[in-house]
Amino acid sequence: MTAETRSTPPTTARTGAISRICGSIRGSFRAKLFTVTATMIVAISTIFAVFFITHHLESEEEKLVTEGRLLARLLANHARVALFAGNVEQLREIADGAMATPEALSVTIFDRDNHPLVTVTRPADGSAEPAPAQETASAGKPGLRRIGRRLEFSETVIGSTRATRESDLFFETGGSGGALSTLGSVRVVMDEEPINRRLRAMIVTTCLAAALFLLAGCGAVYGVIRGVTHPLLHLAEGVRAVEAGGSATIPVESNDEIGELAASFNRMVEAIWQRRREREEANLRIAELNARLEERVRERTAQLEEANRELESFNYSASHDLRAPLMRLNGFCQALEEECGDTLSRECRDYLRRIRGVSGQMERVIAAMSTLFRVQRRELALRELDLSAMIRAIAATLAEGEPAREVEVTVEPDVMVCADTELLWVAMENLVGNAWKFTARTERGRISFGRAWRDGETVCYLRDNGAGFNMAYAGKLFQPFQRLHRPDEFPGTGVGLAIVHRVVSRHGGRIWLESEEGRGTTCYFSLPPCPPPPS
Amino acid sequence: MTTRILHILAFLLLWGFPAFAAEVVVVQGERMAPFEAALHGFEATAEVRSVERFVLAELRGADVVRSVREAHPRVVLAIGREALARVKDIREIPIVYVMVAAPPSTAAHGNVTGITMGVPAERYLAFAHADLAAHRVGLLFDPGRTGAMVREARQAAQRQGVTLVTREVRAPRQVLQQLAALKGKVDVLWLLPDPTVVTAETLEAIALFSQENRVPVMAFAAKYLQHGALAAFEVDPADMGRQAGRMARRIMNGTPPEEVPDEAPARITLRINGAVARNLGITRDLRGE
Repeated sequence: MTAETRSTPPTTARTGAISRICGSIRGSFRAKLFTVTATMIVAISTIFAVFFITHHLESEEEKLVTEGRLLARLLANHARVALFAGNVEQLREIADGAMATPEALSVTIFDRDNHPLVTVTRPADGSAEPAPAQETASAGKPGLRRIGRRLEFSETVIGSTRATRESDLFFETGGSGGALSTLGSVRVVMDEEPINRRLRAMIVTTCLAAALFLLAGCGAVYGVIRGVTHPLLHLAEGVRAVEAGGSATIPVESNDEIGELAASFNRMVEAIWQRRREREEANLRIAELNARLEERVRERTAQLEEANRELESFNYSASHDLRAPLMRLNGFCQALEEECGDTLSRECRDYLRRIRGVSGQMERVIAAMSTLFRVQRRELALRELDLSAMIRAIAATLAEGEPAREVEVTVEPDVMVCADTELLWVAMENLVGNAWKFTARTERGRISFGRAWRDGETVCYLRDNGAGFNMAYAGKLFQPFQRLHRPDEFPGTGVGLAIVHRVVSRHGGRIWLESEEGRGTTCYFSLPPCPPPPS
Repeated sequence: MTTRILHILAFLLLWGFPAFAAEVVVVQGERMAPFEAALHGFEATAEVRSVERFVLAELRGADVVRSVREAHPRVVLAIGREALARVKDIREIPIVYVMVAAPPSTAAHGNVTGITMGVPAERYLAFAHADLAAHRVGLLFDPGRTGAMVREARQAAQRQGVTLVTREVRAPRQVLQQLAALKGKVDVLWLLPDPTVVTAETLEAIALFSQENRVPVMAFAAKYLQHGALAAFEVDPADMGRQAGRMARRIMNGTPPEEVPDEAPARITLRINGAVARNLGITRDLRGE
């Protein structure tokens, strides 16, 4: 123990102990309940004890006063004849009789001149013995006087003189006939000490009874509180165990509400564990299904990759193998035209022109298919690029190809996107090409490019006022070889929008069309922003 | 205040209207039930048209004698000893008294007659001798008050063959001493209407004496039965009033008053306290009336 610890004043230690006790009471429901109930029992016991003792004291004092007054009055009445006759012996007998009252301390009888005739006092041993008359003082005024612990009762002894009227001797005249005269007086001194003794005994008894009641009450209350809180403690432990993930069954100790609560808790824990087991089983089944699904996905992916490889191989072979005969066909057509051009009839030259046209169409289809597959297979090389510039360049190229057309092209500047340049060029070339193509029959064609806010994100749009289409067929437009116009109306392979869709999808964006027949089409597409440069 | 106003009114009436003479003037000491009963009894039998009444207790200081004289009644009815003493000086008008135990000797004039309230000594002594088998009858008296009655009693005792043991007392306190002196010497104690002997304290002592010595007490009024007396001869005020009324009627009819002697009460009732009789061990059948 350090010197500082030793020098801690006892008051601080007491305060700390009190604080600990208060803390333990505040922290325990049982202690709190017991403290409140015990305090109430103590308060009620104290109030009842004080009330009982006070009431008893008042009652005893009132009884003593009544007894003293009655004794003095009776004594005055009994002593009347003896006083009248001056019979001291008889007065002494009467006084001795009055001393039979335990609380009577002394009895004195005075004559009409206020001289004590008889005085009987109770000595310390309790026996009443007559005392010399000259020891006593004179009689006081009638009534009650309190002198220390003694109560002094004085009563005047009244006598009647002779009747003054003859009629008073014969008839009841209401006492008006005889005048009253004082024969003497009596004085009774009552001692409060017996009352005080009884009161002390009563206080001791009451305190003992209150203490016993307190002990019994506290014991009973503690038992009741323990009976209430013990299951609650079990419940709290069970809740903590469940909270920690364990399982707990608490004992059901009674059939009352608390017992019902404990039983409900046990049922709840059982239900929780049942659900946990079911969930674990379900998780196991899900894991098995996932594993099976992954296995199947892997199988399917492998099959798909194999099919893709076969398809690519077929595509490559088809493109390559079809393009070579097509070139030879074109070569033969050219040779035929050069060798036999002059000999051929007009009809044969027309056939030859048609063969070359179909051959060119087939070549474009093969090129588009090749492009579609190239778009599908190309590794993305993303970089930030100026889409506005790209649109303007493509539009300029188209305008150079058809200088006769007057198309108003509006491009919002500095629209920057992050994309693969080659793929995005192919896509925009198809989009702008479509806009250029479908505005061919519009008297004043307009193509505009810019950014708009749609569905919570910034998207790019390319709008034209061309032929437009029926939106009921919008879902087919992104499928290869799907066309809404005849080739003689608007030529094309039917693969362009499929290429655009593939390019945007490969960049993680989305694309959709909004159109109205005869009023133009707007193509909206989004491209993810470029990732921030590494710091 | 009310009394003074009444005095003034009475004085004025008595002074200013003497011409309104009443047939009978009634003088009574006070308004008490026995006196009123006696007056009613008197009025019932006297057959008088007009009665004028003077109540002495309400006319203090007034000259009642003069007022009576100025009323010129045919008869004066004095109810009670005080009323008789007040009008005793009137000699020219017949006076009939009632409710007087023993009329004073100075009132024994020719114009005074009436009904004495006292029961004849023979009745007491006969009861003591016959019913209580007593031979010695004790008597306490103040000679100045009931000496005449004692003399009459002695004569009656001689006639009855009863020994009368008398003790004189001059003050109530002496009653107790004389009672002690009578211990063992009397068989019956006879109470006379003597105010020296009969007081509240002496009554207690007499009752104690009676109880301790088993000596029955004969009293002169029923009110003493509750104080421990065994027997009492009770008179009826109303009947005495009727008796006086008849006497007054005789006088008013022309009989000179000196020819109308005093009368004892016509109706005397013996009252017995049964509890006292039982406590004294008197087994004899005492029949009260």
